[in-house]
Amino acid sequence: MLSAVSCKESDFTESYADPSKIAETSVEKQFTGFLQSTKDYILPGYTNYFVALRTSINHYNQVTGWINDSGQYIPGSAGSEAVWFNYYNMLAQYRELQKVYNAKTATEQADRKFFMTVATIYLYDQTQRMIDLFGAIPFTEAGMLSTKTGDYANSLAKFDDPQTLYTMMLDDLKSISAELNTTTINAGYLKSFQTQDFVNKGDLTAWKRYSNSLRLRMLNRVSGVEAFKSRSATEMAEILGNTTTYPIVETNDQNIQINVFSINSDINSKGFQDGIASNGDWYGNTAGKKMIDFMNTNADPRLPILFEPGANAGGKYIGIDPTAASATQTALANAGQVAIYNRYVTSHNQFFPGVIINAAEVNLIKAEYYLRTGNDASAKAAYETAISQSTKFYNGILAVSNATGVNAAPAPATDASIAAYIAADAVNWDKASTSSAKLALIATQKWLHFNLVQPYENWAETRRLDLPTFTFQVDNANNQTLPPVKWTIPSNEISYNTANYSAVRDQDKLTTKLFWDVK
Amino acid sequence: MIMIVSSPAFAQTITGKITSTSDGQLLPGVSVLVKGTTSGTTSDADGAFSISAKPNSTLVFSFIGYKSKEMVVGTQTVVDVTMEEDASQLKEVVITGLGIAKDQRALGYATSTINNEALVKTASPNFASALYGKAPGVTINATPGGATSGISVSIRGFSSISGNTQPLLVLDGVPIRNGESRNTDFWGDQRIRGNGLLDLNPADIESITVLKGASAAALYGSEAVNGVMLVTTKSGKGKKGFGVDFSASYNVDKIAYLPRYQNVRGPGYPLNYNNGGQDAAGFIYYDTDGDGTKETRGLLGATVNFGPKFDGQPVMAFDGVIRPYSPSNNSYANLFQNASSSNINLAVSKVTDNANVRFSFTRQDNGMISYDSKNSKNIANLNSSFNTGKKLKTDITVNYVNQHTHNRPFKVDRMINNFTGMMNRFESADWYFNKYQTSQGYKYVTAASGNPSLTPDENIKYNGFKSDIADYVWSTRKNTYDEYSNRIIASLTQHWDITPELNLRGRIATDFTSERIEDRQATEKPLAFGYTGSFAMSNNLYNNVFGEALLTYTKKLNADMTVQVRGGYNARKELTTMFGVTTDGGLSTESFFDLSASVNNLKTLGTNTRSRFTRDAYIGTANFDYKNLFFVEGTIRRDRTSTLAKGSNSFVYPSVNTSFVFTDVFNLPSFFSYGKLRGSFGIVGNYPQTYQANVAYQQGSLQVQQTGGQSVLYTYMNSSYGNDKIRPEQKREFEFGLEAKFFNNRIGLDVSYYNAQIVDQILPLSIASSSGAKSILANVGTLRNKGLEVGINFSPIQGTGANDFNWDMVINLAQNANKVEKLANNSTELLHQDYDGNAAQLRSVVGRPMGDIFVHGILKNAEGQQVVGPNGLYQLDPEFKRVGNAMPKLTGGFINNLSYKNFSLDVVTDFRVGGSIMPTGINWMTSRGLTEESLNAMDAEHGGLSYYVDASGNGIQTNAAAGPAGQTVYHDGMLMDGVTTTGEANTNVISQAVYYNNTYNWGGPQYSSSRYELYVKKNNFIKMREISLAYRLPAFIANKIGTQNVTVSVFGRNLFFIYRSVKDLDAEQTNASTRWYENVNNAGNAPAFRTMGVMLRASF
Repeated sequence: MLSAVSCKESDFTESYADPSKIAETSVEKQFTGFLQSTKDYILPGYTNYFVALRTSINHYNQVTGWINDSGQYIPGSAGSEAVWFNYYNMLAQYRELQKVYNAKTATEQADRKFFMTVATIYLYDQTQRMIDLFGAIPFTEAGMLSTKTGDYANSLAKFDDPQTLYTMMLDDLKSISAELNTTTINAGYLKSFQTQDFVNKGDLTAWKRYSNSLRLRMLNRVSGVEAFKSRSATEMAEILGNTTTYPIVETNDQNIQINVFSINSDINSKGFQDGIASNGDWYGNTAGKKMIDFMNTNADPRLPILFEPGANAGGKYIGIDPTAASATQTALANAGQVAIYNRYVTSHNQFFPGVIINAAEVNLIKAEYYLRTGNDASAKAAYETAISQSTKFYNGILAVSNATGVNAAPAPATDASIAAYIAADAVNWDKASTSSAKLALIATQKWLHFNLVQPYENWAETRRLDLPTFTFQVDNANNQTLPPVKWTIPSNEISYNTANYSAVRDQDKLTTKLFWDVK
Repeated sequence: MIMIVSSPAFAQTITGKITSTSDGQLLPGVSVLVKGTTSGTTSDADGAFSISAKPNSTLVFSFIGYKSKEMVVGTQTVVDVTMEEDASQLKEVVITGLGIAKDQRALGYATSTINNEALVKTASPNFASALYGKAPGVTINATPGGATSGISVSIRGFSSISGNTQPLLVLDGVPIRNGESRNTDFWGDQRIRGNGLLDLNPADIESITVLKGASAAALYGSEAVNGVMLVTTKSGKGKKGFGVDFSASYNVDKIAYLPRYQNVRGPGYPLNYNNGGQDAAGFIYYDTDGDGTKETRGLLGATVNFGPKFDGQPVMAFDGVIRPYSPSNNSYANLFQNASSSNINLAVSKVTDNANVRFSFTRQDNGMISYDSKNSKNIANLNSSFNTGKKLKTDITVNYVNQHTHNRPFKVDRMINNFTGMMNRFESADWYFNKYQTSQGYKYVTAASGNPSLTPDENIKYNGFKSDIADYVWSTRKNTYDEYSNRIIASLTQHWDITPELNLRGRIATDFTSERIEDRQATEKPLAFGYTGSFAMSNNLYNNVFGEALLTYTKKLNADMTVQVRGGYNARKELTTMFGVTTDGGLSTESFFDLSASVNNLKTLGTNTRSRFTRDAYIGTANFDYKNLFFVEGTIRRDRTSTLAKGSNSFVYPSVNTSFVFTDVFNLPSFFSYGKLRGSFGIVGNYPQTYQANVAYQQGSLQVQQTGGQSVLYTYMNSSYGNDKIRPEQKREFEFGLEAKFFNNRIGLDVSYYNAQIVDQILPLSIASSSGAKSILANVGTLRNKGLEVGINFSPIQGTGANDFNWDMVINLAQNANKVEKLANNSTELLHQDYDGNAAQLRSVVGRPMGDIFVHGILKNAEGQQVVGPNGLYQLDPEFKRVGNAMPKLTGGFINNLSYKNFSLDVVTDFRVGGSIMPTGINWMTSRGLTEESLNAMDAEHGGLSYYVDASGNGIQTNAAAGPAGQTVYHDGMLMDGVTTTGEANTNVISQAVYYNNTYNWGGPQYSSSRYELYVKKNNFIKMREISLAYRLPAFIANKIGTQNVTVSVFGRNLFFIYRSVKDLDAEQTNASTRWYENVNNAGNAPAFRTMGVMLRASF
């Protein structure tokens, strides 16, 4: 009777390990694990849009319209914490990748070095986004728990100065550009690179473009900071002056983005619908007045692609005025007058790509750079190219939609409509007489291009340039009367990394500007 | 096992019957020994015995509670014996570890036994909720919800700082599945879960013995850190012949203990709070006829209720109906149903010379207050014992529970823990019943969402609609969720008396559950607008096999001393497999519930797991008995477990205990009937959960990501990090006790003092996510629990006959002092929870009881004065201060049983002193202006100050009718007592709406001015837990209808509070989990309710 249940030592050891897990991994598999760990914050996902962005950044950027309420300028803790957790989980996967890589022999490492190099580009992209949100963050010592074999007491990480991190990343990305130019991938590893790299499908040139475009983005962001001024000017000149050595994203074909291949895989945009267009009155996709009015006035060819009129609006595009009383705002919305983000193109499009960096963005950076350096012709060319590329970029997204049961597919924008738009009064480069007016044009186009598709980039740029200019209802019933200029460190970090946090506590205020926010 | 039937060779066989002198009842289980030999037997269920003895032998009859008797047998072969009760001896036999029955006087540690009578009087659907107040040191915490919601049992405080605190559940000697239920994460699971103990049927339980301390539970080693509950099911034993018992009950649950809502104001706010476009009276106006004139009075779409006073005049409601502006009196509570439950039990038993069998069948239909939520159980129980030979006995027990739960209660979280879901006093539950779906059965559409509808005229377009409530109504009315399970707990036990001194017992048992779940989410909109709804099904198997062998050797050394030695082995293997799939992308046909309706490829539910657990143990015990008045026992157990890494998975648990019946030795006054001292020491343990320690990579596939590509495989490290070097927890406990009886057992006293240290506490320690994980498994520290338990029995009035007035009372008290003695890495505190963005924290601090609640108090300046900010509200201190502790200090019960003639009345109250809770959701209702408290200072009548607002926005107190510049004078002012940041007295009068909105809001100082210190309250209470009034039909009537005993009763549970310190909710409302630290703040599972019912019991 007992033999049915009596145990051998092996019964215990065999039942110790979780049968769904594996004890060891490879550089290749962990590389993909690292890439995918942040996919829900690159592809439009539910938590990012509904919890983190809907009530915060999308309001600060006025890319949506909402109902005024007291306390509205305090970013919700659930959202900022979700972003924080996602980033540090991704960093932990990166450290794990380093750990697996470091355990290899020198030969094995040499063959796989490129995995580490391109992973670093992706990591720095995300790290820059975090710095731009929070300011000082733990980085250089962060994510080391597994590397330190679980020694949690010694894994608490100090907060790094944001300016120092920018410098470090710019240095590293510069050498990465050089390194990639000399990298050749052993054919045996190229195949696995093409499989494992679901972002660029093993295309090393695309990674070079990503790296150099990211450098342009960062250099441009710090271009107004005294300590970075000369570096920014020199390196941007170097990159833009030699795009053979420093290839960048110049056409929509070269856009760096995660494309959805099959909605039955985990790489998809199914979460977008609940993220901005769920049932109930969440105002996740309702249009804001400023953006709608601008697009209306100037017949922006993207208007019918990005937006659709309210159900009872008789085809008119109407946005919610952020300075109106809440009863007025509610009445407008309840009357079905308010335009919403085009469901066919955005929320219900499960093939919506995960945008990382694209040609329109790079050309707008170029335009700003050339404007700054007094090269008006190049600035104008880049500006107009950007508008055309942005419009065609949204045409492209429209083309891949699988949305069903919503509005009909809008017609794509035509070259003629783009040309007419570029000539419109508030868009026309030559009608802007001063360079500050021209900067305002660039900023407006950035804002329109990014809208709620690239919300974090959008917020960084609207804060840096203070353009376009927004007006908000002042919330006198609350300590935070206007939108913040940064997010505060989430309470999880404050609670569990208290000693290190105390060093940055004084700078951690909703009203503390980022170091590059010098205007 | 090979069975040998040996036949003894003696001269003659003597048979006879043994009866009791007091009532003439036949006595089973009497030990019969041939004096001077090792030959012996025991009487059977009919009190008959049969033994071989030489002529002129002396037979010794002994039985617990009776005086031993010796009879010289001549040549006769039939000897009938009567035995006399021994008042000096206790009759109590206690089931102890490994199912060994022991005389109470031999126990060196405290146990509590609760008998069937105490479990069934108020028809509780499970035994645990019938235990409130009935055993000192045993605390029950039930999650509101009803029959399928989890119940937490804790013994002698909490032995784990953050892990499982549930005792091991042992049914007829077999450890069975209980598990945890944790209902704090609404987004992870919207329905309230239960635990395994809910499956056990009170009607089939003979008794429950609680092994509290480490020594009592030592034989369960690594599974016993939280104590052990030994459940013994009813058998036919003690009855004669054929017996039938029947009981039936019916009861109704009604929602109870809601917050004290105000019925004065509706939604909205005054202009001095915020201008949302309302007029001075607080109303807005709609243009309903489209003529451009806004003619219809309406309300702001606000979550706060500082709006206009109810005036009974017409106003537009969210559903488009113009109604008088009055409180609906049909608010939150009406979202629920009155639930009715019934319980029918029929048991038959048959006792013969060689067998006793009891079979019982129970049908339970348990209604719950959550809409359309019900549970039904068919429970069959077989308990049998067969003498298969002179020396062989076989026991077979089978418990079979066939269960169906329909719509497990849906959490009310969104209506309690969320501003936008709190129902206001104007709106009515039935407006939602009418509006949650369209006339075509699709989900409501709000005009603001811009979503398409086939019935656009029905779109919700007026203020006040709360999609959180409509979603709740939709979820409970349109979606269904069914669980079907079959659980079998069966055991086969073989006893073999190899010699009279040597006994072998072998047992094999299983606890097997097969569970099937179907989750149907209805189609929400026409297919033309997209695919919605889903269907999921899952199958779960819980497979638990247990085996045990136990060899017992008893040797009577001489007339005074007996030694008993046992050795044994037992092992348990568990395999849990869970498998579920769901449709993805909606249902392809409206509300067609099948996997084939999936629009995209099927998805796994994310619960597909195999979990294996193996544990075994070698066991040894030695007992020594001197003159039946001094006892010593030592035990040892060596455990191995699969949840720890190789090399550190084996550990040893010893214990020793002793008892001394001093009244048998010393000459004490005659009123001192019985006295016993006891002392014990033991070690028990605990290990991590299955796979929790294992550090390994998770893996996944992104499938093919390009044309002609290969599947993209990846790995990642989980954010809950394991620890291969974890050590088991150990609890070391001393215990001393005194049992005494006075005045011929009229007063009984049982006192225990215990002192337990639990070292190497295992816990998934939360760490900063920037470290590389959100938690890591670690041995974090040392806890101590010490306390005193007192049980008093007292009969103030003792009737001498059956019809006399009789009154028995029981007082149970338990005081427990918990202390965190040490934390790893010399930390001084451990953070369990951070609430609402640093608004409050639950911490365990070294040197203090675990569970301190910290909040931000009012900022004080250098002079110690309270600082008021420029906004007229108190400024919060950025530092935390301690304002409460979650550990109760004193718990217990007060039980009275009164009987007179055919009536009997049972009254159970239980109480708790100490232990704070922080019901955040209920306090947020004050910030929304929903509670009576939020009316304070709303006008001059309610104590509001009169003031006007000056140019700089400050409120200036005034008696004038208008401000100096003609400003409006408001009468809802409050003035915070304190000084400004520069030290001047605060004079800034603020609207009470601003005060309540900010003071009881969500979030820490980073987010708001909420004073969480006001949320933390001591949770002291005395609750009328159970009342049962029963009437027994006179015997002549009962006999006429062919029964022996018929009782009808009315009863109630959770009836009212005699006292409670927290007024706006049931004292148990925040119970959400079997872990203590999850029972502090969440009031959002289900409303509390009270139960009343009737019952009929009869035996034939």
